[in-house]
Amino acid sequence: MESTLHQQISAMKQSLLDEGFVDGHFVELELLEDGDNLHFTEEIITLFFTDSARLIVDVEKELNNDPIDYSKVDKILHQFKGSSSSVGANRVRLQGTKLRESCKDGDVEGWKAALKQLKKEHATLKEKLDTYFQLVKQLGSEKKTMWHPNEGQVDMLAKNQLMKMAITKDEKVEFGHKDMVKKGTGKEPGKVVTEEEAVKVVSDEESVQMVAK
Amino acid sequence: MRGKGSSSSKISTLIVDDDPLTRRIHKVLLTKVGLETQAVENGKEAVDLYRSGASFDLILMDLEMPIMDGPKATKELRAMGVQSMIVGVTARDLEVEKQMFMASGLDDCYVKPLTTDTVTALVEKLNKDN
Repeated sequence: MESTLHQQISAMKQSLLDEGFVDGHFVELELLEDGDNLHFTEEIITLFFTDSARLIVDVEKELNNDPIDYSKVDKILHQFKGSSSSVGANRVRLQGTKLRESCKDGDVEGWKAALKQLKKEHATLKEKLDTYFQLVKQLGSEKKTMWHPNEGQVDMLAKNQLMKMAITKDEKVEFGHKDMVKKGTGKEPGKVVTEEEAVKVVSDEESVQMVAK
Repeated sequence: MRGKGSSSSKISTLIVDDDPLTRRIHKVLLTKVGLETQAVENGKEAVDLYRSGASFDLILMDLEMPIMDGPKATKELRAMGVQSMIVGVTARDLEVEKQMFMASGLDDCYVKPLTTDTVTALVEKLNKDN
């Protein structure tokens, strides 16, 4: 059951990346999660949606003024660009840029269309990420669990440590993972190991050397 | 030599940014790579901190902030004799704007948000310089 949920989460994240809804900065946020910041990504994304919703309201208010203060609009959209970039909200950021360019050009029909599309992208991303975080929450706090990398999602911290060691030894990550897991823990790939066991494998130089041979 | 903002041998960092999202992200990022962090919301608060006797090994300075922006704060800090590494962080990616910000006395300038790789490189540079 857990493996299926992990696969679902993994697939959803890959889809968000492939379709351009999010970019590498979103992945970076998740990599910052640890024991001290367990739900960091969700916290930041929640902050982002609160903030960006307010900015969209502000920009629409300014654009409905007569005359329009485009410098004020530009300032709001600059802020919007910064925050959407920080969380990896890629399509939202790009649409915000299109809106900004239309405003700079004084293209009224252009900014009307761009604003409409921005709201749509914003709402779509929120919906998708709400679903994503619901799945993550469902999984619970199983952060110490690791799977064989070919089968499903790996705990981020353990995976990064293992990948670092495998790459250092010029071994393919898949090969490195499989044998390091078996050698270091005595468990067959696909079996659950704890983060402590994974860290032990990484720190066990003898295991890594045997893999490299 | 560690800044007086540090309570240990850790590198001390001051995050200067009016955006709470950016402050939060950078705080967690810097803490994760082992740095001590403190954050303020604008350039004036950063200058006031130094005037009160604090100092930091690394300052992450946003470009656009209310009350006192990044370039002005950087110029003031340099005029005070502050030699901390000051790195500009901005959402603006036009070369001319980055050059303008650099001219205020920065050691380097990056587009937001910082990444783990960038911070790691900054730490290596700081360790090398010290």
